[in-house]
Order: sequence, then C-alpha cells, then structure tokens
Amino acid sequence: MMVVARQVKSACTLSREAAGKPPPESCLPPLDEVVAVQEADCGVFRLGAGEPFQVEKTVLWLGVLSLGFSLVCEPHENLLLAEGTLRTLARHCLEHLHLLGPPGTDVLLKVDRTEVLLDRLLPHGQLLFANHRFIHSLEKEIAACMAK
Amino acid sequence: MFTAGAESLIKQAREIQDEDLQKFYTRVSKLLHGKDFGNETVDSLQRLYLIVSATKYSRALPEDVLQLLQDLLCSSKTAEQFQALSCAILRETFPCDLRNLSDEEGNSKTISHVAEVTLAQGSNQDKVSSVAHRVLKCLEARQPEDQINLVSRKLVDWLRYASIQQGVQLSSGGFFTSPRTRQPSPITEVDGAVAADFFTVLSLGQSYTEDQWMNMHAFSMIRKWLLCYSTDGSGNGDTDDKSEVDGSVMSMVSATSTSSRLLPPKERLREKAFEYCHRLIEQSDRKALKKSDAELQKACLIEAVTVMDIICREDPSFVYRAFACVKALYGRLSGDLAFSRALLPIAQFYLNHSETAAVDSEAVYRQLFTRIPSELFQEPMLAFEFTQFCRVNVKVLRESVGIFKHSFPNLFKPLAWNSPALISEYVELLPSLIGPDTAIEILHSLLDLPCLTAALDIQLRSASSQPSERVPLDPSVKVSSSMEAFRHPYYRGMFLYILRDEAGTGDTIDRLSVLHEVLADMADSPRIVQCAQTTPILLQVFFNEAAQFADEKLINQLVLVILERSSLLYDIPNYKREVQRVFSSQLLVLCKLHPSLIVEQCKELMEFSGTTGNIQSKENFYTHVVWAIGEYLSVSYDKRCTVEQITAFFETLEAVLFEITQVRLSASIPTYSPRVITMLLTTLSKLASRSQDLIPRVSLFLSKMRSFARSPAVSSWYSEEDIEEIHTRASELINLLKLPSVAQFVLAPSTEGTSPRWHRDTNTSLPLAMRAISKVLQRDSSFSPG
Repeated sequence: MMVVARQVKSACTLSREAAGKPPPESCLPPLDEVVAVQEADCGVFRLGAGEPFQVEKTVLWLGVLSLGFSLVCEPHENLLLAEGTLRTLARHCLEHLHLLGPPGTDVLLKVDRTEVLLDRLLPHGQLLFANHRFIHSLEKEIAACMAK
Repeated sequence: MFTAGAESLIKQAREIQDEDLQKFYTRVSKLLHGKDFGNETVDSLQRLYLIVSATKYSRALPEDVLQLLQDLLCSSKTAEQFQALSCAILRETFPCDLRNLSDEEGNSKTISHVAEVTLAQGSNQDKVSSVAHRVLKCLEARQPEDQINLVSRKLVDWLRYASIQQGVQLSSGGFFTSPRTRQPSPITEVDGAVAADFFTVLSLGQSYTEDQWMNMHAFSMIRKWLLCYSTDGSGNGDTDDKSEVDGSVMSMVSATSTSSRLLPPKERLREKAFEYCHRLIEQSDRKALKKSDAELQKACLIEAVTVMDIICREDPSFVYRAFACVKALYGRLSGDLAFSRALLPIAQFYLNHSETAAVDSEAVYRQLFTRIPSELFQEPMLAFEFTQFCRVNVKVLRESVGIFKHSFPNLFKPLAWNSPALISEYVELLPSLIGPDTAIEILHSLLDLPCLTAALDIQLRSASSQPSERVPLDPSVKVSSSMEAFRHPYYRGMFLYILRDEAGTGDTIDRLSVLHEVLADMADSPRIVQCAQTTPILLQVFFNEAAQFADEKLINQLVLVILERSSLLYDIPNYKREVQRVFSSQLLVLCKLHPSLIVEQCKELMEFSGTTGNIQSKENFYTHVVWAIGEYLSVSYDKRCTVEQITAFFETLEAVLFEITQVRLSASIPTYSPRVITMLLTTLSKLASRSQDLIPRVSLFLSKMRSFARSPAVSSWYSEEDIEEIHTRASELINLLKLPSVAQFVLAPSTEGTSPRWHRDTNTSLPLAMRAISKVLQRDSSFSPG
C-alpha cells in the first residue's frame, strides 16, 4: 500500500504543479464535501506486473486538498464507473469521518465506519452500476448504521 | 494536516511492547465475554484493528480472542458495527485454523463477512468451496448441481426476469395514506417515462425489491463472470427450467426468447446478457433527469459494448446482431465529444469483429485517431484509456489500420500535455510507431515535444479567451509574447505545423529557431519543464529501436539530424544538456553500426568540428564527435577514405586547437575543459599516424603544447592535475610518433568485434596503451645510449 500511496502522491503533486495549482501541503481550509470532491484533481496510472502486485493493475486516484484517495482496479474494469464510485466514496469518507474539520488522529481508529461505507458502496470490491435511487437507499442504510 | 498525528499513532501500534500487548488482549477478551458492548468495547476493537493492520506481517492473536471474534462474526444477533470490526480484524490476522465457519447458521450478511475473511486469509480450496456451497444454498435449496451452472441460471433470472413493479416502501406510513395509495407503481426510465421493457440498472423506482437489487448486482459482475467462466467446456444440459415466470415480459429486444429456453445455462446466459446490453444501449438514448444518472448511462454504454464484445468473441454467431446495434450506436455518438469515452470500446469492437462481419471501419478509426487526441488531450482519464487502447492493440493497428501509422503527431499530444502520467505507456508504445519511412519525422517531433506542449497550452488559452483577443494580428505588428505570436500571420504557419494531425507534410520546418525564440516566455512553465524531463527518455527509446532496423541511408540521415539539432533546441533549463548527452552516446552507437558514415558525412562533420563556437555551447557532444572522427576516419573502415580527407580534417582540427590555446594575456578564463584539448591532441595524432606526412606538423604542435601547458598564464586557468594531464599526454604522443609504425598500431582502431570494454572507453584505453609503449621506449633508450 505504501508503494501505491507514494506513487499517487507524486502523481498528484506533478499534476497540480503542471496545472499551476498550489501544492497539496499548503491547501486552504475547505468548503463543503460535495464541492471539495467536485474540484478534486484526479488521474490514473498503470502498475505493471510485479510492481508491487503480482499482476497488472490500474490505479485511479483523487486528490482532495491534502488527502489522497486511490482505488486499485483490475485492467479490464470500467474506469468511468470506478471514477464515479471513488468520488462517491470520497464524499462519504469526508462526511462521516469528519475529514474536512480540524485534524484529528482518531480517523485511523474509525475503521468500523470505513468498513460500513466500503461494505455498502463497494461490496467485496465490486463496482456497482447503481443509479441515484439505488445510491439513495444505500445512503439511508449507511446513515442508519452511522447513527448507532 | 493529519500526517504527524497519524504517523505517531501508527508508530505506537507497531512498537507496542509484548507485555502491554498481552495485557491489552486480556482486556479485549474480558470485554467480549461481557454481555453489553459499550463504547469501551468499540474503542478497544478499533485499537486492536490498528495494531493488527499497522504492521506488514500478520499478527497471531491468542486463541480465546480469536474464538470470541469468530463468535461475534457468525452470530446473526450482533450489531453491524461489531460484525464489521471483527471481520476487519480477522482479515488481517495470521491465517489460523478457522473452525468451519460455513457450518454456522447465519443470514446473508454473516455469510458475506465469513466469505470475506476466508478469501482474505488465502484459505485452501476446500474451505473456499464449502463457503461457496453455503452461499449458493442461500440462493437455491435444490442440491447438488454444478456450481457454475447454478450461478449462471440465477444470473439469467435476475438479469432478465426481475419484477417491473416498484417495491413496497417499508416506512410508507403516514396519517393520510390509505391502503389504496399503497399500490405498487411501475418502474420508470431515467427520463421519467414508464418502463418500456424489462428491468435494468437504468430503471428507477422509489424503492426496490430483492430481485431488482440482484439485477443490479448481477449486471455489475457479469463482465467478470463471462471472462472467467464462459469458455468452460462443461455445459451439462440441465433443461429442467423453472426460471421462466408466467407473467414474464416478452421483450422487444429479444427475438429468440422462446427458443432460448432450450439452451444450456451458459449459452442461455450469453443470450440474456446480450439482450440486457442491447436494452441498456437503447435506454442510454434517453435524456436523464439527474446528472449522476447521465454519468451512469455513459458507464453503462461502455460496459454494454464491452460485454457484447466478449460475447461475440465466445460465440461469433452474435456478431451480426451485435453489429447492427453497435453501428447504430456509433452513428448516434460520433459527433458528440461528451461521449468520447464510449468510442473506445466501440473501436475495440470494430477492431475485433469488423472482418468477421465485413463491415467498413475506416470512419471509426479516423474519428478515433484524429479528433480524440487533438481535441481531448487534456482529459486525463480519456488520455489514459486512449493510450491503453493503442498500446494493447498496437500490432493489429500497425498491420490493418492505415491511418494509425501516420497519426503519431496526434498521438504525441496527450503525452506532451501530461508527460509524467503517460511516459511509461509511451515508452512501450513508441517502438511500434517507428518505421524506416517515419523515423526522421518522429525524431524531429520528439525533439520538439516541449514545443508541442507550449503550443497546446496556447491553443487552449486562446480558445477560452475573449473573441476580441483571438483576432489575427496585423503582419507589421511586433509580437511581445507567445500568445500574440499565435495570432500573428508570420508565426501562424509554424504553430499549425507543430499542432498538425498527420505526418507526411515534412520532417520539420525551416524557421524552427524562430519558433523556439518566440516560445521563450513559456520555457519555465511547469508543464513544459515536466515534458522536457521525459523527452530524453523517449529519445533513448527511439534510438534503441531505430538501431535495430536502420540501414546505411537512414543512419546517415540520423547523424545529420543529430548534428543539426544539437544546437537547434527549445531553450529549457537542462533540456539541451540532457538531449546532447543522448546524442553523444547515440552518435557512437551509430558510428559503430556504420563506420563509413564518417567518410560519407565528412563535409558536415568538418563544418561541425571546425566551428569553435560548438565547443562552448556543447562541449561534451563536440568531444564525442572529435573522438568519432579520430576513431573511424581510416581506410580500414572505408576504402574510400583518401589522404586528402585525412589532411582536410587534420587542418580543421589543428586550426581549432590553435585558436583555443592562444595565450592571450588579456583573455578571460576559457570555458572549456582540458579534456577537449587532450581529445584534439589525440585525434590529430591518430590522423597523422595514418597519413605520415603530417607527423612532423603534429610533432611540432605537440611540443608547442608542452610549453603551452607550462606557461604561467595557463597555470591560472587549470588545476595542477589538469595541466599535468595535458603535458603528459602531449609527451606520450610525441614519443609515440617517433616510431611511426608503432604509432600506427597503437592509434589505429581495432576492428575486431569482441574486444573488452576498456578498449572502447577513450579515457582508459589510449593512455594505458601509450604509457606501456612509453615505458618500453624509455627502457629501450636507456639500454642504447647512442
């Protein structure tokens, strides 16, 4: 995971540099989650076999201010769907883990929340062709779980 | 923001001492034994997860904690939060002998978690299949049956025969609702119209029934399923089919739904998946009311075409029906850039099947290779997918798609825009683009890749600027920026050349230096700098490939390009130096492949080596050129090498050496290294050894050099070692040239193929040889005093 994270970080930095945006470290405090995700940088690169996974993978990444989200996909998967899923996941993570607020280290401990999000939106790692009504039902379930 | 605190937390988790760990385990055990799971239990489990996941290796948990966690996982009464935590923890722990979790009773959520843990732990085949067995038992009570066929049949049910009524809302209570208003209403399409055909992922409803959920899940995994299991030979025709519901919808897209009942499960699945894809393609034509649904429509299009492609590959009898659909889709989308991502699977489909169906595919490829890279190069995802498409299919594209080979100016645009992300893809793709007829133009295009980046940037900014700022300028106006130059008639042609779509209109342009100058204001822009950093890599790849097939004519042309372009480069910091470094090493490779090029290009080489300015601007490269002349200008390499040529080169180099070693008291410190001097000396000696009339001249020069090295002015230019080096080299050469036949041997090139590497290195071979000879001569002279 470190290998992927490092590559994502450099990919994001280079992309922002090229576009003339400020580097990830010096980002201003954020607006709301939806806007933050909409304005996020995104990109994709390929990992060859053995670097570090045994088979070839495609890595999709999203850079929201100073946070990076990445999704490791199989080469044959639908990238457009993966992009949409990653954005939705990122939005929910920002919201339910309060990532846009003052920084707290306990985000690392909130694994149960992350698990619930992943379980609903990316069950067993499967990308879902979910229209807005399906997503709405899933979001209701997520909200119910998080409230407990 | 987060890193410092998070890092320290992870560090704590990794470095927790054994004693503390054991105490912690005991506490967890006690908490889990208790009836009530409160915040403290949650907290402890969260910390336990961090501890087991923070390290690279898996931790082994104590037996009782493991048991408790497994209990938690398998009990259907556990709250979701605790199930999630125990699942996460068990996934990360050292694979242990999980008791047979699949024997437990549990609801589908539990089974799902158990499956997750089993797969994550890499359990053996038996455990996995017993879990699978348990999963399938939930779906269908009838046993036993081949698991794959069972799943295939269930998939058909879900894909094709899901209900088209909306699910009854669970919480639809309210003061004013009466039983009548609870009638299930029909499913709608994304644009609000009532559903026209069977249920798909693009069907909307207030709430969904179970089989509708399964429909969505089934389509989400169908591609993977078909890729994995479609070609399995088994197909035991289980025709006892209870899956056709009485009130099933006769689909308008399926003409064969009645006869398909007789097909074996896998074939039937293919048929139904095909119908599903066809319906999705039709549904995608509707205008969705919500933006997220519009995005989903695009994703569905891509998936539908890809699945059809897979089905056609398995069973070519689908090709005609598929083409009717895909062709119509292409007609619908071809003008719309917003749907460009869907063009890629369509092009793949054409590539795979157009021959089978004898369909003309020129238009598709033309659109793909002209419009997409030139108009959408700045979309990162599309650029990536486009590059992948080219890379994966390059063999077929080279052989059967005419337009591909000459589209490289367009193909370079995504790379120029986003070099760091795409460089590794292009390193693989580039060799296949290079051929004898395109090599020179590709080389020029690569050298000007940063210019392309600048031009694309200007083009984009110009397109988004005010109309008043896009008016062409008057020719008499003097431009003060690259943006203005873009609108100026004098420069316009150059920009258009750089931004061209197709190859074949000329290898490069005459006024390239003018273009470089006018783009100078963009030379430090980050995007251009990034491109400039990746270009030398591509140049290396280019030369490696070209060396494989280049004939003498092409090698000569390449050398000319190298010589010409070594000073004709966009002035970005470090760019010139890196490119010249590649040129230096590649020049030597080319000389080795075709040594006669020195003789064939003697005019250009003489001009190059005679220009003293070249030493200042590209010293390293110049040194390599001089070395190559010394090494390869010889009759042993090319019979056509004449004494006149040797003499002419000699005189040219002598003049240069004379010029740079003028001791002018008022002169400033020279900017070239002593290596140039020693290289020139050595080369002159080599040439002299081959045309012995020149020996007296060179000996005279060498002795002059010795005194030059000892002169007081020079001692302030160079360091002690450098001066010593010049002096020693001059002395050795003088001694060597006293014995012309020995000199000829030592200074002649070795034409043997397999010589040890140090022979090739100019720095080690010659001094070694000369030192040896000198020593021999000195010993000799001490024996014979006369």
